[in-house]
Amino acid sequence: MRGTRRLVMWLQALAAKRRVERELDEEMRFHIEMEAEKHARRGVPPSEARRRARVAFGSVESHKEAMREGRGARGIERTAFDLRFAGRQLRKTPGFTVAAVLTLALGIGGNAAVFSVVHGVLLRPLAYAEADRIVSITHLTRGGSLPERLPSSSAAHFVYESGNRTFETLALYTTWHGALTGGDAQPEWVNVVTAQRTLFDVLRVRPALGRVFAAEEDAPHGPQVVIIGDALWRTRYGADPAIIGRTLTLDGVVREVVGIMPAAFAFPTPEAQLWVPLRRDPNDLSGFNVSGIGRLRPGVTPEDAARDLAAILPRVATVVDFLSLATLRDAGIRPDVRPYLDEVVGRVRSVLWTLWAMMALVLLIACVNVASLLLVRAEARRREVALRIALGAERGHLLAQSLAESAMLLFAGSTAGILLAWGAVGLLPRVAPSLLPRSGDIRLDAVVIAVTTLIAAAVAVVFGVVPVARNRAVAPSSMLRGGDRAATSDRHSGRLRQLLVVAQVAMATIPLVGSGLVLRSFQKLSAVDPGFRPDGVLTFRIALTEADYPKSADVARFHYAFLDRIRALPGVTAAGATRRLPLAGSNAEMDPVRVEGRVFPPNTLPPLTEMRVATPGYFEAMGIPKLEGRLLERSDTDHRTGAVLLTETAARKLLASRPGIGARVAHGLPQVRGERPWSDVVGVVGDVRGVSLDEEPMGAVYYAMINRPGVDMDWLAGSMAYVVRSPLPPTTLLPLIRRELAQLDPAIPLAETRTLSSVVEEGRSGMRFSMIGFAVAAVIGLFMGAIGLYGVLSYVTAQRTREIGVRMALGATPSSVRVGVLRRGIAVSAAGLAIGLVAAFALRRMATPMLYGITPTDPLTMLAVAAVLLGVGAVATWLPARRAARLDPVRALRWE
Amino acid sequence: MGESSNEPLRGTIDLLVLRTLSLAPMHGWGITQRIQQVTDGVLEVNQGSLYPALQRLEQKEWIDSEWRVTDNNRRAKYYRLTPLGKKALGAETQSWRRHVLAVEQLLRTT
Repeated sequence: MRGTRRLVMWLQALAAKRRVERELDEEMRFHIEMEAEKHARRGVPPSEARRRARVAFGSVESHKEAMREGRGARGIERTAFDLRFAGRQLRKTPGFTVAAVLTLALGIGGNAAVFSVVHGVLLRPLAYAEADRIVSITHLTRGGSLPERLPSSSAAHFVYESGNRTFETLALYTTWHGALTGGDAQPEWVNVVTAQRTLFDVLRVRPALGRVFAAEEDAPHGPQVVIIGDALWRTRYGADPAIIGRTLTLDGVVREVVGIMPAAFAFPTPEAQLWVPLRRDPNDLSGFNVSGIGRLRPGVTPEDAARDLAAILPRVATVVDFLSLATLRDAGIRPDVRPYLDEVVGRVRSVLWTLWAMMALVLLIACVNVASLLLVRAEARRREVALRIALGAERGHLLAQSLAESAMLLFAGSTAGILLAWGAVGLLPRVAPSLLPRSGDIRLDAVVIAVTTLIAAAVAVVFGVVPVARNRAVAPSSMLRGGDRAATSDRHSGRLRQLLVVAQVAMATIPLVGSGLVLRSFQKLSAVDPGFRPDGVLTFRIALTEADYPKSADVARFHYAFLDRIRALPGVTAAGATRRLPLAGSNAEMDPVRVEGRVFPPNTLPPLTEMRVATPGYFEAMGIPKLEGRLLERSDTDHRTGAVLLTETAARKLLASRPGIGARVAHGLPQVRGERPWSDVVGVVGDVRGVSLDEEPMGAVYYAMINRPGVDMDWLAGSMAYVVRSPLPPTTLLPLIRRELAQLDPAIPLAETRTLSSVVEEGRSGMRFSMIGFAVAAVIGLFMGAIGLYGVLSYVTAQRTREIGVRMALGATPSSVRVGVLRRGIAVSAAGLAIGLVAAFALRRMATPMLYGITPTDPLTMLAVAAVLLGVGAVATWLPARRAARLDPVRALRWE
Repeated sequence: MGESSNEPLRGTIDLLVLRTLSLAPMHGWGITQRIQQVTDGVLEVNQGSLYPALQRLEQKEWIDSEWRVTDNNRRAKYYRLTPLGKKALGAETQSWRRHVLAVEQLLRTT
């Protein structure tokens, strides 16, 4: 409807313009007729009278032109005319127009898309009030047997809370999975956050309905409560506000619902569904195993805060006995305070900035491309321009016309580019939600469009001015005399064009190198042996509730029964269970391990190793090799002392050169979590990359699922991840497993069903994002470089048609002509390549954080890049060369 | 013939047109004839400056126009002074007189 209306208005305006012109015509005709009549009345013959009248009146057209100018319509009309003219010119050369618009669209679109991501992920503040004051608190160590970064500690926070002068509030939190049961709904596997009540003050968020935890609820032995997330409230409870005050059962614990968070609340990740109080017990403070977060006082920097906390940390020695001053000093433990945004964004930061830099480079290539295309066009039009200047065209008007052309190209290019970016950004979360943190915050909004517009304006300056400046220099007389022949001998412009191509190839080299390096890193990462064989393994997780399985013996009995049923299924070759799957995204539980008879120097922490739990059959199902001794057996569960396995690295770290089998180890420091008995090492198994593929294994101790009766549930197997090796597809296997589970206990939810391969794939997703991003940048850059090379060489060859014709008439062979053109093209691409490689070498530091297993000067990558660039250069050169060689000398000589 | 000598001074054409139209509404050709007659052929307004001037005055809303039928049954565009134009004519006349006096004075004293 609006479209038709606009059309009508436009027609009216057009009609009005026509009417004005018509009236003007009539008025002037009337004038001339009256004048003629006057002459006729004096006896002049009618034809002569009309002639005289017309002569006296002068040029009707020039009067009309003056009137048009007087109407002020001239400016608009002229602009409209220029634009129409530009449109006609562009339509006349569709090849050029499509190439230019596409180039600009890719350059601008790529930038807009990457900037949307940069803006959404890195620049946009988190959705909390004064989010820049929210910081994460971790601890750095001296490394060695400890990881270089530890999370926070309830013991450390205990002293931080009372003694600091830089924080408004501090909070601890940790995440876990639990089984949500009760009510009529199916049991559900949920993501739970345990947090101190101060978390809501740190984030300054309040529930949409209900309240946050009360002080007594966050104290040991207080009432059990829970706050639920908006999504869970809607899906499970039908958005019923009356849920507040009712109870739900989480991992067997009955909790009262006290609040419902707003839909936008996604702490610490959008996956979080429930929040329960931490209930820290001052008499049972722990080591470094929880996450710390805080809100700084206004005006305090993270560095100030870190210094403040560092001064207080030693007091922790008076609060707990497992951390002495000497331990802190020797391990070099010190607090590290960073903007919370950094933690959310993580390693993606450097990837995104680098990617944006690459896209900026691609845009620059696009600019140069369009500039050289315009330059070629301007050269081709010099004669026309000279003619028009000779005929009295104003230079200013010519300038305006070529600007109109550039403006139209830019407008079309940026519109197409923004549409392109819009499509890409819309696709991103659907294609790969897990590739990026904060992917929900990525959108093509006003800021992105504004920045893109600014960039487009900068682009216009870069490519729009060059050809205009060239045209200004046209001297009509020499141009008209020389014709195109004079234009070809213009050495200066030829050199400028070649320089532009060299610059393009050089700039295209850089994203290509980046892409090659990331690709090689990905290849290396894919080749990393995770320590197990992921293909053909189905995994899922189940959780038992404390209410239904109160004793650890019940838990063990259930798991063994279920495993037996699974193993009995047709096609299942092995099945086992563990508490945490390797690479499944959770932090490792790192603990010091003591070795019987081995005394570590006083006041040093024994080496940290991962603590893992496995049932018999786990190693077979995972494909983890046995290196020494034996694997875990069912009888180990009830052993008085328990049996453990060490991984290769753990055996090396803990036992040094002593024999592995027969040693006795104990987890944890003395007096932590009660002293555990010594466990016998019965075997050594292969290392597994537990946390991430690109981190060397820290070493692990595997405990039998339950190695001592009477240990609390948390340590036990409340929730276990199952691994089932079978050649059957998961779709066939899963219903069978579900049936078995339902027969054992229909109330237990089966969750997180996926293949082990997909778990490993996800471990590579960060690298995959940078790989895709770089590949896109590289391909666009390469494509544009090729267009540039092809365009310029084609033009140069076409300009040399006459010269080539002369040469061929004088006896040059087609092949020598071809070689000549090819040589020029290859020389240009080789020069660009050389400059590009030097630049890539200079920028190598930028790439380092994104790489794995290779150096930023990886020779194989450089060779491949050189081959690809020269290859593309040769192809881009080949077509013009062939055309040149096929020239018919006779026609070439006539060519104008 | 010295065509240029019959051209009115630059900037005076608006005044001439306004003055002419103050007597009666008139079409473009009529205005040129009228000026020629009244000034005994001393001033001849060129069409190339008349029509732009008319357009200019119309834009200033000092005159307006309408299509009418002439005495000998022809359609012509008649221009007419508006009240605003009448005021402007007074001011323009004043300023012209001051101008002439000043030029006169200058010529006399030098």
